[in-house]
Amino acid sequence: MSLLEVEDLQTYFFTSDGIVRAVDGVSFEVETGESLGLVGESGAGKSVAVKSLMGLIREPGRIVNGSIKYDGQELTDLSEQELRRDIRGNEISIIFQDAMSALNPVFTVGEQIEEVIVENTDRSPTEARERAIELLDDVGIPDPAQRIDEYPHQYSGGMQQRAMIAMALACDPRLIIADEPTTALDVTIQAGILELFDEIQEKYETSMVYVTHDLGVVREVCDRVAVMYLGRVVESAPYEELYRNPKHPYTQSLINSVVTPDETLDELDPIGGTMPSAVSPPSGCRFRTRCSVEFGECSQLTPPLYDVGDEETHTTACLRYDDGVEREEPALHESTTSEPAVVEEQTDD
Amino acid sequence: MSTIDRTDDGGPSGTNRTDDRTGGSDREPLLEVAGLQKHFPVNSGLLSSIRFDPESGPFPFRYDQSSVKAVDGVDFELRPGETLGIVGESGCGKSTLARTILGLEEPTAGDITFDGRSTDEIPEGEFRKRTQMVFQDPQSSLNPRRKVGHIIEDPLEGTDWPRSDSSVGADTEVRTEDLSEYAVNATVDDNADLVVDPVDGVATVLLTVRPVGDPTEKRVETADDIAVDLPWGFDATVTVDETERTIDIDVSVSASKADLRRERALELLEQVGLKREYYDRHPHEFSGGQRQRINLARALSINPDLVVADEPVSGLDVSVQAQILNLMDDLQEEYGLTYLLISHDLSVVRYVADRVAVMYLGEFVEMAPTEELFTEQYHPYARALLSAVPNPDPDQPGIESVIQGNVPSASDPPRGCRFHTRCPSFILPDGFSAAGYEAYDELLGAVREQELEGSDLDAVVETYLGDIDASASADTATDAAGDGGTIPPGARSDARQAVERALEGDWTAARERLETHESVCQSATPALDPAGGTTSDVVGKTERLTACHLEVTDEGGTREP
Ligand code: SF4
Ligand code: SF4
Repeated sequence: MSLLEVEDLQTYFFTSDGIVRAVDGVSFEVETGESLGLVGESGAGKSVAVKSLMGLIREPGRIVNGSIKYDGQELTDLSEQELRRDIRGNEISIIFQDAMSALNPVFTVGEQIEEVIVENTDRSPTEARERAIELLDDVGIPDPAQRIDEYPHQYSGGMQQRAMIAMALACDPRLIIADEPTTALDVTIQAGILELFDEIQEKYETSMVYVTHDLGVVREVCDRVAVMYLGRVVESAPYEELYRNPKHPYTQSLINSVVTPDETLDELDPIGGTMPSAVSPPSGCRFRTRCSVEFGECSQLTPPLYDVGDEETHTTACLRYDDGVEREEPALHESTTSEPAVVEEQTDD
Repeated sequence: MSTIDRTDDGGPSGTNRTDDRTGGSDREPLLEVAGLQKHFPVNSGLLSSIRFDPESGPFPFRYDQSSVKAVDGVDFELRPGETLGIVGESGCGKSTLARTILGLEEPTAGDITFDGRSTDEIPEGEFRKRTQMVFQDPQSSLNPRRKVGHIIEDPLEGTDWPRSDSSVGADTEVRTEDLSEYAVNATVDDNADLVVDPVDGVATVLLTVRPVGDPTEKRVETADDIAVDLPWGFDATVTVDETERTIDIDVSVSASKADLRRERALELLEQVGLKREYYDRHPHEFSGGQRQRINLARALSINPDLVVADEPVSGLDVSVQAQILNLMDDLQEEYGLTYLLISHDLSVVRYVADRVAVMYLGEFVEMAPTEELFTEQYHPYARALLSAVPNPDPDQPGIESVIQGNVPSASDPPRGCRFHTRCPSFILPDGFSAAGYEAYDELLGAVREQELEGSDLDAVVETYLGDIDASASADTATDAAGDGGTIPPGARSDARQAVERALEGDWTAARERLETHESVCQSATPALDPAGGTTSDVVGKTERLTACHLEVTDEGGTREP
């Protein structure tokens, strides 16, 4: 049994502009000790998906369908109180992009970590403090015994993020959800945090769901990756398999359009157009409005996740999964032309 | 000279306006920046600058004059048609540099020369017209209540575009259909260059003159029997003299300035990959990438020479980033633009820049042609920065986190090389191990602060160098586990003597004694000099520059010829 099994999750937002189908039939699994990357552009629904796991969806949003099984237990059946008492913070922790908004400015870093420990374990306050210093040391805060008594604003951006990771680890969660935790950081600081994630996974053997828009980051911290597009998972595979052998046209373009330091502009081949609105997504395959190989049936059939390749863990939601989809080379200038103006990007970011 | 270039197909690839500004490396630089500094007072306001300082005699306050050295001595040249990318992490001063160059901040020191003249001497109106800035967040720089078309027209209105150039002539080129018996004379107003682009100093209007209806059935008698096909924006008055068999056509510009601006905005919308219909929409109806396109259209509307783009694609999705970078590249070619591109993202710079400067704490630490820099970095900071960028390709090396700690404060930058506090290649003086030098440096720091820990000579030496092994010879300096590090015997005896001086109160002598063993990375500021030795052949200007005491060859760096 997987540690986490998400099946056909649908989370909608009931807004005055219509129903935003932010997450619309998402399924994935996370094994014990595994790190899954959830990748996609803004509006893909990745952030809403992980917030759904934690029961953090607020009005006008609601989980309308689907199941989230954590260690065999159905989370969608739990009340807010039960979630807070039994799940959030002690089984599953979440790390956000903006550490400053998660840390309370009027308490010292130590007080905040100690509080989590005391609340969730049977450690005494003295033991909690010792443990907090240990955690700060683990996440690479220099002089933890001194710096534990400082306030969040006395920490640099990278250190705040480390402090938040320490807090997430405070009661030995089995699953950590990280939602773009390094997006706002400079690359040299990000590099340190990514290394830290690796170390933590090794030391604490936690499972992880890591949400990011950056394939390079996934490569550093994740074993497996699920690519999301407009509320659905379109492809899922072990990272290297996905990169070397992408089956879904969206994944292929995503890989081709990533700006990396070892390629020049000529090698860049962006996807044309913009993601349609999640209020009125295209029928059938949601990628069809931007897909260069779409055909008649794509507008009628919703492709399920097919097993593909030799790797049995590789699945893709494209009707042409088995005909060796080759992307045509779009003319360079065509590809820079945009679709009609879109409705505002969705709730995701 | 302001003209617009009219085409039917529009679109980024439709027109081929090959501007003669398009770069060549032997051209005079468009922009020259020399010794540029921008310092900000740490505390603005007199009261907040007063410090309590019990040391300063009878009146225990002093005025805090420290300043944040955001930009601290930057030199570079930018040639027409070139793109210089400036990369660095937050707080390195790259945005301040951009703003100072454009005159949005008053420089503290240094010279900025634009197209051969100091920016102080260029009338503000002219400078505004020839330079444009594109910001990171198009949302906040686009007024939400105004139509996109009007936003794009703003700079045109601000510069009272279009204006006719009196030195440009006007001419017509007439084609006739079925009018062999008639002589056609056409004249055009001098201001034809408002609408058509002049070639070799003459704006030529093409017109086709033909009879209305079937020429075999109907004779040409009056002006009503003649049709004239004119380009957009022109009107014609026709006079037919049946006896003389002549047709006189008087062509004039009929479009108002507002019409011309509107037409220019519509054309720009197409050029940046949007639709003419979007003219009447408002910014919120667009996605982030589309808003950045609008921003580019606005910046280009008055045909500037220099575009300074500050993080133009940060915050956009990866696929949209690629689209915008492609667009910027197309527009550069079409308009012969010169770009100064500021970014924290090395990959972005890689795509569009011809040369890259890496900035750290207000200074350039390395500058090189893009390809060369990405192939090999000479400066340890540039190397560390590049190795920290995650690359999705599993065949490329993964990230390495080699820099520790945080960027030091720009109000009190480290002495010597500003990167020395975090440099993984820090040059240890002969005979010192890393830990040994650290201990020695701490003693030196304490002497500078005039605050030694310990009461007598032995106690002080014990405090600072107690764990240090001084017996080792220079070539066996190592940090074995559990050992406090190594310093050479000479340094140890000098340290003892220095402490002696310090305890006598002669801090200067103490400091000078200790400084004899200081690392060159701390004692001397490395200049931004040609690196690699082999590159001076390249027109003297495209050479690689780096500010580091390390010899490039020490790093095993061999460049391809
Ligand atoms: S199902 Fe059709 S439209 Fe969708 S990705 Fe496959 S080929 Fe393209
Ligand atoms: S001068 Fe010294 S500290 Fe500075 S970059 Fe070079 S090796 Fe590093």
